[in-house]
Amino acid sequence: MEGDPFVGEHFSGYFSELMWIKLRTRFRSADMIREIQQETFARVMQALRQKDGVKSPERLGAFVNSVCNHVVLERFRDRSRHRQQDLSDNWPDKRIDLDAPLINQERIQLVESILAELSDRDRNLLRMILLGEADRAGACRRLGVDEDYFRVLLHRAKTRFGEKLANRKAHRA
Amino acid sequence: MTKTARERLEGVERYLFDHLTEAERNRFEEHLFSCPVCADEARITAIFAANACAVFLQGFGPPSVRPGWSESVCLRPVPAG
Repeated sequence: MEGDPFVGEHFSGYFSELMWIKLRTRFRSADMIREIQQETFARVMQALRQKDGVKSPERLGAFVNSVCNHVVLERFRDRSRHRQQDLSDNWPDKRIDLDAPLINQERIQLVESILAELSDRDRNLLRMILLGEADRAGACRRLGVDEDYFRVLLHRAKTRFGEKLANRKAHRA
Repeated sequence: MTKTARERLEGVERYLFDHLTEAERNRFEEHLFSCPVCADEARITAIFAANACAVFLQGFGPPSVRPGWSESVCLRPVPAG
C-alpha cells in the first residue's frame, strides 16, 4: 500500500468521519478532535510507508483505531499533567462544533423530506429522543409505543436517508 | 429486519447513544473500524441524527416559514434526569 494515493483518499474520506464519531464521545473540543485526527492520520501514513507497515487492506481499520487510541491516551496523559489548562480548553459547551462536520445543507434537506413523510407521533418521538427532551422509555411511554417501535422507526428513517444520499451521489457521479 | 440486522442496529444505537460501558465501547470500536457494514450503519445513523437535531432545533416546518439555520445543534441526546 506504500505510496498508494488511494490509501490517503480512502483514509480521509472514510476514516475521518468514523474517527470523529468515535472521538466526540470522549472530547468536547472540536479543536482537540481535529488535532487527534490529524496526528492519527500522520502516524498511519508514516507506518504505511514503512516496510513492516500494514500489509493487508482489511487490517487497516483495526490499525487506524489502535493508533487513534494511542493518540487519545497521550492526550489524556497530557491533560492530567496540565489539568488546569485543559479544563478551560477542552470543555467549552460548543456542541455545534462537535456536529458540524456531519451536517450540511444537502443532508438537512434530505432529512426534512424524510421527516415530512412521518406521522406527527413518529416525528415527535424522534424529536424527544434525539434532542434529549425525554429518555427513550419516557418518550415511548408518553406516546403509547414500546421501545422497539423507536428502534424500527429510527432504522427505517436512517435507511431511507442512506438511500436518498446514495441516489444523490449517483446522480452527481 | 433480520436478526443480524437487528443486532447490528442495536449495537450501533447503544454506541451512538452512549449506552455502553467503557470496555464495551472499546470492543465495539475495534469491531466498528474493521466492519464496513457496521461502520456504514453507524455513520449513516449518526449523520441522520445530527441533521435531524438541526432540523428540529430550527423548528420543523415548510422552509419558507422557518427561521434561518441555527447553529445550536447536537447529536448525542443528553440523558434525561
